[in-house]
Amino acid sequence: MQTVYNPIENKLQPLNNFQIDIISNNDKTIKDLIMKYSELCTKENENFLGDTRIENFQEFCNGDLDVKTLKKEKKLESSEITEKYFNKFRYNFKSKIQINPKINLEEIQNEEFSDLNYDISHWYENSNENKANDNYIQQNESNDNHNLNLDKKMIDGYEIEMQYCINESIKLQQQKQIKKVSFDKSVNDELREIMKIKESLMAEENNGLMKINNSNNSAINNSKISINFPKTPEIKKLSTPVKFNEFINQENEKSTGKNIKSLFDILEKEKEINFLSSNPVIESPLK
Amino acid sequence: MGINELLKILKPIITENHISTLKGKTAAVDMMAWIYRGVYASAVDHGQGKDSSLYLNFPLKMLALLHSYEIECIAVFDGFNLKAKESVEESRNENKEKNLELAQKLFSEGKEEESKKIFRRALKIKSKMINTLIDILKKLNVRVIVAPYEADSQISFLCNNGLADFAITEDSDLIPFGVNKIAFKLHNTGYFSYLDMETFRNSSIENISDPSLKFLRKISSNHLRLVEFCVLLGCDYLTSIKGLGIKTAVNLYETYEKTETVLHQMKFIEKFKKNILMDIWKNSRNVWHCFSCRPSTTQLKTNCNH
Repeated sequence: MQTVYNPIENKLQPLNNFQIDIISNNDKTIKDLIMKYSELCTKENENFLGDTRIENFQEFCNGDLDVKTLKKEKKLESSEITEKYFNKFRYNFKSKIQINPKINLEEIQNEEFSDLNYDISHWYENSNENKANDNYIQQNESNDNHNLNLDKKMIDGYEIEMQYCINESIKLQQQKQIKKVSFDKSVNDELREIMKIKESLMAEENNGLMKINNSNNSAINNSKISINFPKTPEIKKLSTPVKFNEFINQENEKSTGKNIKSLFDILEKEKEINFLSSNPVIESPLK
Repeated sequence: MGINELLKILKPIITENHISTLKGKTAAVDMMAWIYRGVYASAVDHGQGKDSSLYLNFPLKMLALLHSYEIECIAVFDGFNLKAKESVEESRNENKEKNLELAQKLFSEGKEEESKKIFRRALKIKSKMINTLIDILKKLNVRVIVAPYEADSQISFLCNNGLADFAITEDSDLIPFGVNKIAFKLHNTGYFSYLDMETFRNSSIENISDPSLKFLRKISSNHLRLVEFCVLLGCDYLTSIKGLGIKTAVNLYETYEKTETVLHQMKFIEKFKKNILMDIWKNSRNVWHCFSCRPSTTQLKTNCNH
């Protein structure tokens, strides 16, 4: 008998609808069988679990009991192992990384240099959020002596996104939509976008007020009134071609550079790409 | 282990997809399949009785991946063994024991690579592993349900009652259970094979060229017939009937339509004559009728808190 746990009503119930089964089946044997189970699964027998009766089925189904012995004392791996994996993954479950790939294949076909046509601006936003998480973890772990390598964790946190980018890159290459891999145009465009966001965020952080004396406005000068208005975000001009490595080195000195470099380091690793493209799917051990 | 060759028939309608397309949805995940994939990584250690916690890595990593795409997960674990599957479980255990012995022998002879393959066929999930993973998931605030019996039936309940939007699994058992949206073979990059039975049911038969797929499309709207066909192909409740492949099964159904008639006619076919599984199949079919899921008459609320 297939019994399932209804987490809304906190009760066990048969998987199927007996009434429909009884009406739809003409076979007397099946009808009798259904009737038998239907009688068993009544309110008086709510702890009925197919062939087993269990008083504390709610605890069992919510994972509070040992799955084999049904006792509260669970047979577990050592607490060090549990702690190790909890610490390893709690970062991933606390932060909400938002992936927003803007892949438009039509645009890619039309543009010559568009191999990295993703909106990566959210990385910067997330890096702030992740830094906050890092600080949170650091504060907590100084108390409970957890020795986490935060840099490593930061990289781990972006691993998913990077893998995704690599995979997309492979996919696009496989579709023969990229004939030429060049970082010049698309990367610079994206970095400009990041700079733009960075500048605006910095402006916000500094409360965005800046004192400006407008020498042409005599009325203001005469009255000695200074006007405060928000600083407008500046886009760093990149009119002259900037070499990719130089640009990355410059960015490395800044707070966001670490993440950007990590991304491009990985994108540049053709070996890894080749490896992934030759082994794109993990075979299931169940097969 | 799934329905024999069912995914093979459905291959033309299975699409490659990325989980970013399912952002914001709720997934019911068959955790047992992921624990197996986790244990797979340290099969030799487990085979030799050494303690290894590497099996925790894969399921946690995959859940983290889903979480990063804002996909809410309900981790579903197997509970008690189902009586109907007792004989199948026993024979599986026997095979695993044999494989373990063979693998240990090969390993002692220094044939490490060869033994690794056999060790993987001897993998067993211990209750300690499930308990530990459940504990970690609960700490990480991931919703956990231990099914009274099989995770498959629990997942089908969650999906068919609006508590989950789609299922993540590794085999085809959820198809006869009536789950419409299933993600198979989720890779750590986020790509997976996606089967949408609802779309398939609404598709035009004229556009399907493959006769087996065409037949499945025809019976897909009749749940009972779909279940009967799946059982006939071979499933966990009954080992497959020798000599009965997809093409033969489809031909028989196309000719005789009803399962009862198909079974009756099979008795007169030479290669099935001596097949003692016929009667067992009849019994199993009756049991399967009880397993087949239909949505409950009252729709449940979607805010599942426990």
